Amino acid sequence: MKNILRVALPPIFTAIALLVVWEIAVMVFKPAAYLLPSPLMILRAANVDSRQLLQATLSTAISAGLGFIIAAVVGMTCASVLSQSKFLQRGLYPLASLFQMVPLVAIAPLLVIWFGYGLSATVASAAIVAVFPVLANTLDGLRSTDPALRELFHIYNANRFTRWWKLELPSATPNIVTGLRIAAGLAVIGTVVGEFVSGYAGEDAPLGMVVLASMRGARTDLVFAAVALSAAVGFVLFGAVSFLGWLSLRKWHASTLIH
Amino acid sequence: MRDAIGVHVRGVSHKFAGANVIDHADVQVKPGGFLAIVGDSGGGKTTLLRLIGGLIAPSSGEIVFMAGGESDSQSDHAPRGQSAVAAAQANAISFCFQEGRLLPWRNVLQNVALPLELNGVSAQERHTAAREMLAKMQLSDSEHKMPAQLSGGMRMRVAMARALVTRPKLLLLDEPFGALDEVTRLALDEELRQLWQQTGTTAILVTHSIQEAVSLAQQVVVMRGKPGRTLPAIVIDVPKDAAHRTSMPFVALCERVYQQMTMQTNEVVEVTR
Ligand SMILES: Nc1ncnc2c1ncn2[C@@H]1O[C@H](COP(=O)(O)OP(=O)(O)OP(=O)(O)O)[C@@H](O)[C@H]1O
Ligand SMILES: [Mg+2]
Repeated sequence: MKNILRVALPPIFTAIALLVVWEIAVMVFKPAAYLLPSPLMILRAANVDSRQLLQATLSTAISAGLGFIIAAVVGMTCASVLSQSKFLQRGLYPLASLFQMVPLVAIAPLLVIWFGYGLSATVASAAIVAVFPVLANTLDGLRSTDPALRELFHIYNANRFTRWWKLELPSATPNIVTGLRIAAGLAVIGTVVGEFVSGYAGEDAPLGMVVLASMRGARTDLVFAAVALSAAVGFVLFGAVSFLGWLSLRKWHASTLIH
Repeated sequence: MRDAIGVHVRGVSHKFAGANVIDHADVQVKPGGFLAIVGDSGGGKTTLLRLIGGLIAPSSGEIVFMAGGESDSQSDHAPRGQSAVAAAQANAISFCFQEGRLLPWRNVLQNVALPLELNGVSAQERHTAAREMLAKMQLSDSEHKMPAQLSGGMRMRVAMARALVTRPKLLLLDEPFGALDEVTRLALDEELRQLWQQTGTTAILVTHSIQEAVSLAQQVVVMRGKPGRTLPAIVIDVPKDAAHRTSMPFVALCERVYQQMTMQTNEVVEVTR
């Protein structure tokens, strides 16, 4: 508990201090509300529209979560298949890395063409940005398994599947967790980008749409609120993944041992 | 063990990517025997052990396994690769690596049970066998500990328990105690000697310590130079009890090994010709 407080308190204090400075700066300099609303103004606006904002947050969280899960499963599966074959690795991995260079904003419209307006396009957009870090990190981990341990498994007649399941995958866990943590943040970014292009208005409009609509209506306070909420979605997803990673590594990995 | 296997390495050479690492190595150990290999760092000792274990195939020469004191007639004719693979497949050979190499995500018991698990032995059976080995190594209290919680000496004892749990007919040890302090090392040497006597397995030990080689083995082979060559084996005929390490014959044998290890390279070529 003491440890948690020691880690959590400094950033919380810093954040509060920044908000106070912001609030005071707005009070002193009085910029137009559409340029820079103060934290309290944002809070009030969010409170007024809380129902819609919560709905939007939920809808963004669902597509980020789904996109993340798809990215995790696809990334780990592809990395596992690639790790078993030098041939496939040479042929496919460079293409995968190239694919990662394509800007998401540029392909998002394609996703709308293929998946239509709505959830499936935003989920696809989240999955596409999040898959590569999972793939790359998992593959890295699988390939850097201690060769002596591979020999050990060979001596005792383990087949490929057993070697993967009982040796390569566990020894890649730290890398996989790293990949998943990066993917968690990216999934939210991918979702919001997807929502910009494919978002649907109405009752269950996601945060990306709230940002767009509020911007058009010069409701900068709501823009800020939506941005803060999407950051919160990313934070929660990242936190959940980190916690699960810590759970799976805590018994043996150096990064989690008590110093 | 009645069916320990002996090894005869005949004129084995090995190349890694065109570079000669081992040049015409000749080594022999009879079933149930104890052979120690000492020599230059980078002289190909680990490579020789991996060749014997069938993990890599030699560029030339052959490695023959013998059962029950006589040369196995079948493997006499079979190409070495085959006989090594066959021996490994029957779980006849176990390795104990430099630095132990435990799986850090498994506790002590699961690590020791691993070889049996990989061979499809049921959970109950393999845990019983693993606990038995752990008791022999005085590790019963630590079966739930993770490798990161063990001292270096304990880790090596776990690695040895893992190597012995399959009741191997040939045990290959690659500098098992190289990273340990002298006191722990002496204690583990003694444990290894007793285990070797109890199980009757054939043992090949690679070590940097002349004392360790002479006090444990029946024969010591020195490997010198790059590419590594084997010098004729030195037969160790002193009694194997704790007190003998200071006896005159023991010291004299250490001296002989030391001479071979420090011999000029051109002399080595002379002797091995
Ligand atoms: N897989 C490999 N590929 C290429 N070269 C190798 C490989 N393994 C070993 N070598 C080379 O073979 C030589 C002998 O290595 P080896 O590990 O057998 O030496 P060693 O006698 O066990 O040394 P040490 O006492 O330091 O453990 C070294 O020069 C090493 O660089
Ligand atoms: Mg070595």
